[in-house]
Amino acid sequence: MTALLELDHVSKHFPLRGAGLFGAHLGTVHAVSDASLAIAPGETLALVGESGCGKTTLGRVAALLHAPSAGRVRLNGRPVDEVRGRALRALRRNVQTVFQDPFGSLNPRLSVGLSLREPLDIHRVGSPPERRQRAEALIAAVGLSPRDLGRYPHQFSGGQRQRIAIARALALDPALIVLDEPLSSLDVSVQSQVLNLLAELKQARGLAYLFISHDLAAVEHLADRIAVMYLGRVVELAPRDQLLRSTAHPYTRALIDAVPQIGQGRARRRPLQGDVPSPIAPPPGCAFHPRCPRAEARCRIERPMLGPPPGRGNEHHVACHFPLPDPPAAAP
Amino acid sequence: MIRYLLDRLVQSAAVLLVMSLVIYSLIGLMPGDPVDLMISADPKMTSADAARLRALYGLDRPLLARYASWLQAALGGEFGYSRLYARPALDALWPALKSTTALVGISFALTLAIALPAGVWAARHPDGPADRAINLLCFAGISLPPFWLAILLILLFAVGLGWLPAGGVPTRGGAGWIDYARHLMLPVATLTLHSAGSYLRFMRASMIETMRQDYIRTALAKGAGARRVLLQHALRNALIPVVTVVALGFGGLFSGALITETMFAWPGMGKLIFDSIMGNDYNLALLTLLFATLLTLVGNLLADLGYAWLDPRISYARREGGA
Amino acid sequence: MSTATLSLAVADGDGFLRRLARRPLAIGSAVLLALLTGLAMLAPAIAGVAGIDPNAVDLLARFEPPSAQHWLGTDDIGRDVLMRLLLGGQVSLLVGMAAALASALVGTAIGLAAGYWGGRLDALLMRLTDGVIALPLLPLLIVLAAVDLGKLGIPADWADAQAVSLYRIVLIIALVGWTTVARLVRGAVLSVRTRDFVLAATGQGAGPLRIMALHILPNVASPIIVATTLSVGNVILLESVLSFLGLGIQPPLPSWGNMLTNAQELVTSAPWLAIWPGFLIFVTVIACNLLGDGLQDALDPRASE
Repeated sequence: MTALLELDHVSKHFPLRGAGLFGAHLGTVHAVSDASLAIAPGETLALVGESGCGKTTLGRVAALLHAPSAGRVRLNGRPVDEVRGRALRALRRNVQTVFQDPFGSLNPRLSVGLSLREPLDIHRVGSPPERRQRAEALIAAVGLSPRDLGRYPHQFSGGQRQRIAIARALALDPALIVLDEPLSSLDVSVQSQVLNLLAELKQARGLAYLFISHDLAAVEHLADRIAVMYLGRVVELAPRDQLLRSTAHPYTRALIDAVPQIGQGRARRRPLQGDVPSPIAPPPGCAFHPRCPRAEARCRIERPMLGPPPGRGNEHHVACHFPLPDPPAAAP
Repeated sequence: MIRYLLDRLVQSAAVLLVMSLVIYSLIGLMPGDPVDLMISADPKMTSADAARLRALYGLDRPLLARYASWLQAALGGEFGYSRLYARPALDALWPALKSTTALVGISFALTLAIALPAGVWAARHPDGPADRAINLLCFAGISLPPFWLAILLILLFAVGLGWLPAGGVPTRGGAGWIDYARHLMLPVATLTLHSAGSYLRFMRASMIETMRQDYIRTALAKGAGARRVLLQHALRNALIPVVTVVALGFGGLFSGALITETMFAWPGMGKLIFDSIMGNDYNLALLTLLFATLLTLVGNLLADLGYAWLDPRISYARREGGA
Repeated sequence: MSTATLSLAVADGDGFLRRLARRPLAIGSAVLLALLTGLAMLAPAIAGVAGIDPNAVDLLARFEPPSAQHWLGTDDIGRDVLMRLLLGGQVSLLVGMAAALASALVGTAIGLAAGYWGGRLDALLMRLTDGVIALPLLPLLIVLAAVDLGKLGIPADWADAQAVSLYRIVLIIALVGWTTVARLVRGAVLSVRTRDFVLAATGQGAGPLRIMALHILPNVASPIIVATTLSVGNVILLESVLSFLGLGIQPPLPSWGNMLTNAQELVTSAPWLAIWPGFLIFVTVIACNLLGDGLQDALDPRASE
């Protein structure tokens, strides 16, 4: 089965220049380095990591919003960089994005109806009355009323705006939706509502999701597979249960431990030391070694490549010289 | 910082160069050319003579070639001869510059002396009756057509009351400082009334903006006296954008005095620019326009540097690409 | 004017009218301007109804004081002052608004291009803008007004036509006046361009034209409107100065500026002739400024009320 979306050794970097016409070259932000991912139709791949790890940038590359600096993006097997103009525009119908900030992702000057119809207008889907009907169907699918089509974004709450953004993403019937931290700006009580909506829609329409988040707990519900990023690289990639129960990478372990569980007590939580280094000057060798409790000499010199850790089957990949051992088959 | 300064200097020089070409072309579009003027002075000249003279002066060459020769001469300090004043253009410039500096300098100092304190004072009680009144006065100042203001002042003080002369400079050997000052008063008043308004409003806006900041509220909450807070904390920060605006307006000062100088027959740069353009004195017009442009560029550069120096938050080395 | 403040304020459409309504000066100015514009536009009609020809020279009735026939008296060659003021108003206001609009259009186009496409185009356009700003405004206008159109290949009789002098003034003011709006628009576009809804539109396959028209322009419209309103006053001042110097609207077509051209000589004989046109300019400009200021304040969601 061909993967829906493939990111093949994708890197994305941004040059930093000083001010003025002859500004000095101040360095490069390596937002994403050598990341490879694949998403199958109907699958939810979660992409987790802390701020600055490059997950948003990777999401933008996946959504065809940024061209990669290196590597290839393939949609339905076809390389995207070979496609231009009208064909590229047609290709965009396959992958849409829901952004983090519900306040900024809707044009304040357009009514909700116009915002929903815009993708249809761009691609000339159906006749104008048909587009209006479709907008009504979309707004209903996210739990709002057709009357809301005439209103403006500032008249809605954050959670409602996010629903509208989701409706807009559905307009072109994409196969894949990139969700860039869709819950992070919402109140906690609203988060679960939106999460449920996303789950429903996924079931009903067979959507694939690239779910980007810094919150492992939110991701647990929806994800089929989880990828963990650190400083622009994918450090672990595994099916959800495997990642959570037989964690291989020390960083993933720390992320999981950081999620507070009621009744857990203090014993299990061992917070990481130090701060995330700057993406302009990543440490040599394994980028995580300054903070890793398992780091040894080799980690300072040689960068680990993604490969299967011992004894976990070929669905699990980790980039570590000394991955955590597979715990015995007891419940965590 | 040095790198930034060099960067800006090169940019400013480049702009000046390009603008010199623009100005040169524009002057070339003015009616007539030097040979025409000679013809009008000497009606017996034939068209064959005119053609010969044109070839002699290189007036029939394409624009860029003429510009190149002019540029070469200019870089060597040679700006040609002023027809109107019968002396090298550069020599006609300096005395005018001195006159304008006197006029504009005094007016500017007066403007700042009035506008800044008044702006700070008005900001103490925003939207109060005093503030509204001052605000209205400022708008009045900004909206007054300068030539009309000049006429009104002349009407009132020169014609009506006869206190002050209606224009000109005192003749050589006149009564010295007092007479000079009397001649200065009306033009200075005209200039000041116009610019004080805008600087006052700007100072006021900047003060109000600064006073809104959280750190001011913190200082007040700590129990610092309101007056001390105002002067020590707020004023310093509020002055930063004001300094920028003042420096940016620097370049426009000299040519902005054009109308005033013309109305009061004050022999300064502004009047020089005007007379040279209207009198088809190409060399002088070119020189004076370039000079005014140079002043503006210098003002901009000073504004940027001053701003960077005063505002510790700005570090030109660490800013990301793209202004 | 802070572009950051203006762009921030753009999203809050609701409070704007309410805040505007609380500013009597701005409302008053708007009313005054509407009144003046109305009267000025109706000037030819009024002249017809009152039976007075503003261009009728009557050397026997020079410098007459106000009378029933001539409400404001007559000028130095016997023309009715009030009528000329009204006609002059029509010209000045029309030219003022047209030139302000033209400047705004040019400035918006340039600012939009620079802000949207960025990169080299932006650098080039901004250097161009800096260059034009560096040129001294009034002297530049004078030079442009003094340009001999014949050298540009325009036939002489066409160049001297009165209508052309109107277009000329609008054109040269637009040529130098676009810079403020350009910088403003560029700043606003830069801040809007990075917002997620623009990215979303790109993701949907929208082309640059669509994005500029539907997403960027509507969200930068407010600062443009304010800047343009504020510039009308300035433009009217510029036109009046040029006409005063004899370089703008050519007589016998009246404009408030050129009615003052001989003012200095008239100062002793008929001071009122010197006062009226300038007063009207003053009133119009201050109204424009107050209105623009009110608009700007109403746009700022952090206003002290």
